[in-house]
Amino acid sequence: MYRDPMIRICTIYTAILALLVGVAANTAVASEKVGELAPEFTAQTRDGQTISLKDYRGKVVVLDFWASWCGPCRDEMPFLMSLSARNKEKAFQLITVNIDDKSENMEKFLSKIWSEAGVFVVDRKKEIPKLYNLETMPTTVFIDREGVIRYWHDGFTASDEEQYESELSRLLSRK
Amino acid sequence: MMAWGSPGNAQELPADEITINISSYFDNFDVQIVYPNLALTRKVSETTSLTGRYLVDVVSAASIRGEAPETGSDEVRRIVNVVTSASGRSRTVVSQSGGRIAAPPPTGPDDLRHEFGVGMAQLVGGGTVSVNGIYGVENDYASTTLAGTFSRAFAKKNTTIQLGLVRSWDEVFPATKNWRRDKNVATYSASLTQILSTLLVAQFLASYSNNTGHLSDDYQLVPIARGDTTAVLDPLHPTTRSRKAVGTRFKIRVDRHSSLQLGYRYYNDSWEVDSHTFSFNYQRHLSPIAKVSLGLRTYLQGRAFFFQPEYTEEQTFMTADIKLDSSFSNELQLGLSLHGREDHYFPLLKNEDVEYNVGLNIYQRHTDTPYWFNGKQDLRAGYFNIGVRYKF
Amino acid sequence: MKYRFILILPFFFLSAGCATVQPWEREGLADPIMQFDENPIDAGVKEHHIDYREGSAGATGAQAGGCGCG
Repeated sequence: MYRDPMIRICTIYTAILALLVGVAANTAVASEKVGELAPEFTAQTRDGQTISLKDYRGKVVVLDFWASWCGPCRDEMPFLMSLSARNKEKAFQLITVNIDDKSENMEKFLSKIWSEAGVFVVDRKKEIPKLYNLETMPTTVFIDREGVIRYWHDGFTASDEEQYESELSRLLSRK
Repeated sequence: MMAWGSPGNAQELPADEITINISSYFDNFDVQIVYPNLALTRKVSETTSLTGRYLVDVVSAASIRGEAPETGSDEVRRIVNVVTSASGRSRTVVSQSGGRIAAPPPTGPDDLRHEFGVGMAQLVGGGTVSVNGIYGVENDYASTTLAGTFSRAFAKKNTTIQLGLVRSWDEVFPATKNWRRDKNVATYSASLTQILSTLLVAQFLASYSNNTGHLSDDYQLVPIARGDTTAVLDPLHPTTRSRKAVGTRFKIRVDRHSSLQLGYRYYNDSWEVDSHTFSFNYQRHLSPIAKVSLGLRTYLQGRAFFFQPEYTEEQTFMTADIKLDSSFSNELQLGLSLHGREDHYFPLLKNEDVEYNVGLNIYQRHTDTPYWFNGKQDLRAGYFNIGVRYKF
Repeated sequence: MKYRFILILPFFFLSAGCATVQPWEREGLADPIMQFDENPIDAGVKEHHIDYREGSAGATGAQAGGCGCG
């Protein structure tokens, strides 16, 4: 079988492809910002207000990047709403950054869930995701009271919920 | 073997859903097949999803009526072969002695082929592994298949690689024969999908398949014309066949509502069959709930080295399988999808988790040689499908 | 095989991957009309009847890639 030139070429091709996969996998940069100051931004919210990240210095901030067309983002949002509501009395702020091309798509999704918690930033020009150099959607960033990124999450599954709770608890317990 | 859908995006499990389809096929070679099928996919954990599948081929107008005279008797039996050649019903058939015998009229479905499948998709590290098992059975053929794929995305999920392996163990036991023979197939496949821009995705595909064992269709008969007499013999195909194919597809965003897909595949094998397939598909959102598609497929094929329009003497390899002749085909594909919407006035469309699909394909194939069984060079066929997908 | 040049296509794709589409730019790509096999079961059933009428097989589709969601 290996005398067949086609098989030889396919074998070599697959080996090179596997090598390239390995190289690419080792160049992931998802969490290189952990330990650095979170990039500052100023943006408009869903209800027309202007906010800046520095306005929340002194609080633990969970910054979530999401879109209505992203399945895991839709799965994550109800949990973040619940997390925010349960920690309402604490020094904690949820900021969600939506990057849908059209606000109506965002509103259509939010109308189906309870969405009364947190601040909803609308970034149609997608400037904040560029600032944070996201690897995937959703990206959830935990920022401490001094504005330093402490935890970075690429993607979301239900098994992440416990980790989010414990990381938030850890950051809130630091003074 | 039914092609199983791969697990979707690398590092994402397929959605929980149930799919019910009823498909029907009909052609001018007098074959009509109805094949309902049902598939269920369900996540059993955050990283694991299971799929179950059942399909039945209900052949109501039979394939070749190779009669099988009992040894020493003139009795004719209707024999049906769904798997290899479903080619047409005829009221007269050619016997092994060369005479023509009237076949009794069929009543009811001629054959049933059942296919059962189970599968599992598992998120592993940064990729997805899926394993599927398929078992198909009918009165003269049984097939067991194991298929595995691994897919992984990298470079911010701009590039996805998928590797696949399919292994089939088939058993052939024609009703006209008193033996059982094996056929084995191993297929290796690879694909690379690359997002080139926000408007363009490209895919490169390759497959290699090694088939060994009994590769002939024993319901076909090869006429040997010797002067004034015609004898018919069983076909004799090589017992190995290695099949190679490479293809590429491009998906282009034309505008906010539509896309265009262009594809090309080149195939060749050790029987010297080679082919070119060109495909085009245009999809458009007509409204928030309706999507249409229009496709064209053109296929050009060269002949197997042992295929002859007419045999005048017995050869080492002989065939009457018209699929191995040089041919071309064209197919027109039409599709309509309706996606439910919460505020829709029509009750069946009120659920956002439901999608209805209707498809019609019109197929035409021309072979250089008339098919020995019915003398026709042109096959004209229609394929109709109606289905519903419900995500839960 | 005279079409071996086709095998260089993946390397072209990989090099083109250096121009990365960012995760936040993928809304258009998440649309079902931008998927190669959005309904893989339907695609498989259609391939079924073609396989029985033509002498070729393979390299017809493998769903991969997508919206960049994690």
